[in-house]
Amino acid sequence: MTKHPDAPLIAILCLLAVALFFTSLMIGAADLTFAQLFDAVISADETPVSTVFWEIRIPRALLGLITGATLGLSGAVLQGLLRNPLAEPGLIGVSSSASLGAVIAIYTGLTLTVPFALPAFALLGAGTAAVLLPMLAGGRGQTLTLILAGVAISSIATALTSLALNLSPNPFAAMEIVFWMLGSLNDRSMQHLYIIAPFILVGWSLLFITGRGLNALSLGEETAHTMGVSLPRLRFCAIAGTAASVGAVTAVTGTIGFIGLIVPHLLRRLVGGEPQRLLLPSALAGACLLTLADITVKLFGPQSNLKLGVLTALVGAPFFLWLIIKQRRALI
Amino acid sequence: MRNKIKKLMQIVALMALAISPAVTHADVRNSPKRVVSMNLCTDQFSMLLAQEGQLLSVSKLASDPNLSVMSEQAKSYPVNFGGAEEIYIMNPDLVIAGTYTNQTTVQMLRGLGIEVVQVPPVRTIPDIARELRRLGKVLGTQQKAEKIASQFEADVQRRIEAQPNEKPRAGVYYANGYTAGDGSLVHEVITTAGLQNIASNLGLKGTSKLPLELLVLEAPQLLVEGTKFSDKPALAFELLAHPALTHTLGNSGRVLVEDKYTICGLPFVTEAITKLADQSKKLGAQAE
Repeated sequence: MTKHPDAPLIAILCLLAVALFFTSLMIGAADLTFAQLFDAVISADETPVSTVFWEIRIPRALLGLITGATLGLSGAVLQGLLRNPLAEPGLIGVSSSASLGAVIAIYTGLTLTVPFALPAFALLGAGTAAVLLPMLAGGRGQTLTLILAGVAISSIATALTSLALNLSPNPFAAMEIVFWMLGSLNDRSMQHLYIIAPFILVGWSLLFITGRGLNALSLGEETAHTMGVSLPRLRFCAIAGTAASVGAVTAVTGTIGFIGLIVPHLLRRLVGGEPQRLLLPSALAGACLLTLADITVKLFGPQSNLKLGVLTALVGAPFFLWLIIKQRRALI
Repeated sequence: MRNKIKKLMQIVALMALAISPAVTHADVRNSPKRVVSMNLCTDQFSMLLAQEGQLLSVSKLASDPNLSVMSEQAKSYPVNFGGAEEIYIMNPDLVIAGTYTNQTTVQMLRGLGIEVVQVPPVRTIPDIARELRRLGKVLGTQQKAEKIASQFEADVQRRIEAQPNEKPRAGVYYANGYTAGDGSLVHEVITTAGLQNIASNLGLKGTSKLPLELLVLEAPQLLVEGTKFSDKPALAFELLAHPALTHTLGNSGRVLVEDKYTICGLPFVTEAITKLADQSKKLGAQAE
């Protein structure tokens, strides 16, 4: 096996992810010093500090990495599949449809009896959006129709989510619209991770095997066909993979936008336009970016109740504008 | 038969009142005859204290079993939704409202010449007795009020005397991670029951957010929870089932104090105090 051309980049991103992971573990509502945490971790006794570490901070930091990786990876795959720089699970309505599925599963009480209903319903929601989108947008991946179709799907899903929450007899449900629209990693537990883990693993596997097909597809559908790439199979892997992994993370974190949009663009400058080479770095960089955003949320403090999606949008939206302006220039 | 006559006489009396506003006005000073309450807490005070036939209507919330201790009694009163128009049409000579009741409605009623008494939210235990006596005076039922108030004070005094020397640590945890610290009625209930409130130890005041991490670090021996709506799920309550919390508490350390006992400062808080004191005693017995 030849040395991977992006090995240095991948190594740097891995190191960064590990560093951010540990930084995230250090920060929380409780002011714990490194020494206190270290003592609690190495000692076998159960103390309140070790409970905080293992059951509150670890799941949150892990979920940050997994969610970021999922969003970055699926963004890279979707941009390759639809041959469109604006494709991203958040923007094209996959995330909000996954939210809708999760909301239906949770607020009807289904998850109380069948825990796996949560990721399953979210997958169903995400999958519906991912299948509908190319049909609505038409072939050839035209940017305008894709975005318009995405906006439409996204608004419908968000409206139905709000409706479902408003109809819930629980007085707190209506306030939770914010969580489902902006996302948060706050106080998620290992149980959440266990439930979604199988879906994430299947989703990631499906997404990673699209690499070669996406490379071929970047040369055009016909060329890809002559190269022996089965387009239906490629589409299935990309869409099912996105639906499973994005559906699963959205089911426990709510809709987190823009990560999947920014990350592939940032990396394309470093690894070039080849979709396959973009996949692994996108996953790693997504994990880094989301963990960084979550650390920032934690630094604002628990009283601020700041949602993760607010931060990613604050960074993401200006970037999105810049992308549009750049595209407009290219058209002129 | 006697009841019917009584009712008939009441109606005649009311009609007479309605016809002669001068008489009504003079009577307001002594005791009001047609009282409307428009706030969950004043509804319950009024139902406790009013003479028969004196209270015309209570608010919609008073009959909600999740919010009101007296929801059953409330069902026998006509309901109001706190609008100036519907209340004016009942022709009351006294309206009892909370200090945070819609100000425009209160101003409108006063502008229409109706006397409105506003009751501030009761946040301490001595205030409950004080408010009972004050409203007793307003309604002209001083004796009844005095009886309920002194009974309440005696109950509380008994609880205070029964407090253990070693006070167990208790944390209040509501939906979305809110807790009750200093200056809240719940805090008073907890301390009167002979428990330490960890929110107060942490310097939290009123109803404020308590991050799960801080709660776990305080290692409470008892977790006080509110009404949970467990048949209607919402994420707000998911936090209470977080493994970190379950881990810290074990199986025995949770107690449910229904919201209706602590939303309003009423003599019924003794129910909550008793429940907590019993639980605290159980903890003490386990420790020995």
